[in-house]
Amino acid sequence: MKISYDWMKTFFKEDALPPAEEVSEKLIFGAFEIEGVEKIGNDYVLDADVLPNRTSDCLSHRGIAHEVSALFDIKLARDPLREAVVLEPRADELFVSVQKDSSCTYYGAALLKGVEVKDSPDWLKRRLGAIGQKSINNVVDATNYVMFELGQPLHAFDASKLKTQDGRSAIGVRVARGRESITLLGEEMPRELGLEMTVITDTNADVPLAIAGVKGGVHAEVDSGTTAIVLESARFDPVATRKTSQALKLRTDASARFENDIPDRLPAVGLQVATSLILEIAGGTLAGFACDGEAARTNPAVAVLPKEVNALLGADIPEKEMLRIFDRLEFAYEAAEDGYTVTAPFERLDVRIPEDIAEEVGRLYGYTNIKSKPLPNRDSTMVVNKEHYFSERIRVLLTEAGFTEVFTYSLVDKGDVALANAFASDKDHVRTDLKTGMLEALKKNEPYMPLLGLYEAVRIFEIGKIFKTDREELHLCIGVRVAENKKREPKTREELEKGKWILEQVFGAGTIPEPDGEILECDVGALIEKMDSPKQYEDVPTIAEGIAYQPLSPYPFVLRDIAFWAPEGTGVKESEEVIRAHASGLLVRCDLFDTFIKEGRASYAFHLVFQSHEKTLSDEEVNKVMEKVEKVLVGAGFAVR
Amino acid sequence: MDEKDKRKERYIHPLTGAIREIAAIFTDMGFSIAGGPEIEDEWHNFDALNVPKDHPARDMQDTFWLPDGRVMRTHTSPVQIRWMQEHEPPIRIISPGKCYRNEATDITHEAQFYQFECLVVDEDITLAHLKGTLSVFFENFFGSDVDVRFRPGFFPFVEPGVEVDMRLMSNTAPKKLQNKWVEMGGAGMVHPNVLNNAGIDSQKYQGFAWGFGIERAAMLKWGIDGVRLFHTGDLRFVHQFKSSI
Repeated sequence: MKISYDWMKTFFKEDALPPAEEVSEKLIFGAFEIEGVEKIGNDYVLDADVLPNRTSDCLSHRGIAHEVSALFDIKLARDPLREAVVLEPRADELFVSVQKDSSCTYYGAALLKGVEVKDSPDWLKRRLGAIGQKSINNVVDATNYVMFELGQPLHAFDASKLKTQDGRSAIGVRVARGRESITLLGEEMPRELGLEMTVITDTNADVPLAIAGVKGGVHAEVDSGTTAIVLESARFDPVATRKTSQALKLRTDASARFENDIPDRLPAVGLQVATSLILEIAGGTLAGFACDGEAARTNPAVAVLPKEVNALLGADIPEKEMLRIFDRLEFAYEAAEDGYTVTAPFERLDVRIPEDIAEEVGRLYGYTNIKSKPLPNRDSTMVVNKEHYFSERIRVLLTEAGFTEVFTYSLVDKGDVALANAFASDKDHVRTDLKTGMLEALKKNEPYMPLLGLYEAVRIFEIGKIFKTDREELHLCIGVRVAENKKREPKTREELEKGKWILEQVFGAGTIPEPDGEILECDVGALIEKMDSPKQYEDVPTIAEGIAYQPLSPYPFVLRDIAFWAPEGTGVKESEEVIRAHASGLLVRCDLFDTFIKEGRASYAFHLVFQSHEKTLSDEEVNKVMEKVEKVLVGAGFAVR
Repeated sequence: MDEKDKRKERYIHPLTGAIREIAAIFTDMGFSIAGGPEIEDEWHNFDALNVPKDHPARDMQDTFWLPDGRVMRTHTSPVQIRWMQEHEPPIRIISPGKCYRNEATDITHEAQFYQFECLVVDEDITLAHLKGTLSVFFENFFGSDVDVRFRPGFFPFVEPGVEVDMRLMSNTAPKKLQNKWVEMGGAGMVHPNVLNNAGIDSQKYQGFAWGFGIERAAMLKWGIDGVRLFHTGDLRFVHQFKSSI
């Protein structure tokens, strides 16, 4: 949420709040991520990524200011949450009733008369503008202001648009009925209401006025002619609000706060503060308050032993310092057996068990002050994981034999097991074999064979889970694609037989199925299951030191061949060096593919592969390089064939 | 280069390469390697890990559901539960494995990814041991002296929860990472509900856990610029990672 530094300053004595950057830094290491600090005019706006457990108390300027107060140990100069709440007088002309099975647990309302709807004062426009909120009119702005100030969403209805009965308006909160619909503010088409949604209604007219916790409707919209308003401040169940908001595909600042659970006592505070503000900036008089429901939840008194807090944090924080931390957080504490009972203020819904208290102590004490410790010595209880051991063994043996491991996708377009909610139709099943992905990988790599220096064959394998309706199996799959014109079938067979032979060395003769086409796939998990448990792991090769990945070129490569008679006494290596030295930076491979000796002279043939990282190479460009290489070779006594 | 010589070149996929180094670091410290199913029941993936029934993480957007109510595991944390159900403390395990998230894929997000879980449970394990163990891991994995720091974090299965940052201090570290704070992932002290759910007495035992992305660790170590390269079966990628022998 966006937090205005100037706005936050209003909670502190003049000049008491440290500079914005310092505040940001402190919040990051003591509370939660600040995504950025932006200077807007003379103000700074902090973008706070409030953690999910702190959304009940910190989605507001007051919440963040309180956090800052605790972290810096600077007292707040004002705190609306600590003021007495007196919702009086009771309104004679307004009645509120909440149906028990609705999503509402408390509904408070104020009836204000004689208000003048007009532009907001400059200070209010500026406050809202700083956090990216558009000014609408003084009444609507006041409700928004209180939401961003305290975290309590509010809504204002035009009271004159409500039907009166016996001189009294009535607001009801109930579950929506079938075939009910409502046109929301800013929308033209009415929305159908689901039976699980809760609505705010004009009871006398039986008309829905708003979708509870999400958005108000046009029926009782506040406009420039409005003179009397009903101000709503309520608490709606988080789960019900989330489901409603999801069903409507409509997430608002209000719904986000209700979803995160509003503290029970907050609506009354919000109602009192908003009422005063509207009277101040829109004039009028307060006819009275009406409410229904209850604010019954209280925070638990948590039994905390200072030594257990230290035992969890691995620190040695003196008891006195812990109590100071409780003071800074405004946690109430009482001495109890061996320790204390600690109770968080009402707006902190996240402090319920001793570990929660330990976290508060840890973050205020400073996680940076917790020193690393090595794990205590213990007799080893290590057991060798058979699946890991044998998977590694197979990887090593196949790699030594020239096969390369790949990983392919488990999410595919068909298989025995379907997903209920996949985002793409080509990924709505989990794979039921490895060979499908393997064949795709072969196909994908085939065009790159010269670039990979694989002129004969692509040889790859994968070890991974496959899924059947009633079980998952660990499979191994070997795939071989032999280059065209290379006696494909017998050569493929030969390579796969080699893979099979390697596996049978590990698992025993006759354990591995016959290859099928370009594929050999087996349930290696079942084979491993039958093996004895090894006593210890073997050393296995790692990726060589000092390797740094080079981005792949998106441009095509060009393959050229060159063959020549080398001068007497010049070998392959020297020949290759001459080529490399003159083939420009575009040469990415130089691979010998043919050698023969005739009458004492050696003939060599090389594949040269060219590729640029900047562009598609033209024939002319490559021709030029080839001409240069040939010229140099001829000059050095080679006879190009 | 000769085609026959070519056959002698050996490559290690960086996922395997990373898991291999992680496994070596931790088995040397006496950790066991644990595994578990990739299709999980809701209890192991969420309930037992103290993820509330109505938690947004269970929402349709984040989790792949099967029609029968099971899920593609969203993390390796259910392996913690499975291991604790079958073993008494002291517990020291890591669990590398494939996980799934139902989200749109791009250069930093992939619907399937690898994670490795670390879990230590004993009578006297603290947040300071977490910091110490992380240091040992980062030092060995990145081959550099390292600073580790915590920021507050929140995950339902730990309390306190922290976000882990590391800073590599040696000139042996990859250039881009030297003296820079890098986010590594979430960690914390195992929530007592999680211990209790798995049949471990939370009055007597406590522990720490973390779950880090393996692709992320590999990307940092080898300077890999996209997460999607790992799972496409593209040898132009794998061939960049030569084996030490």
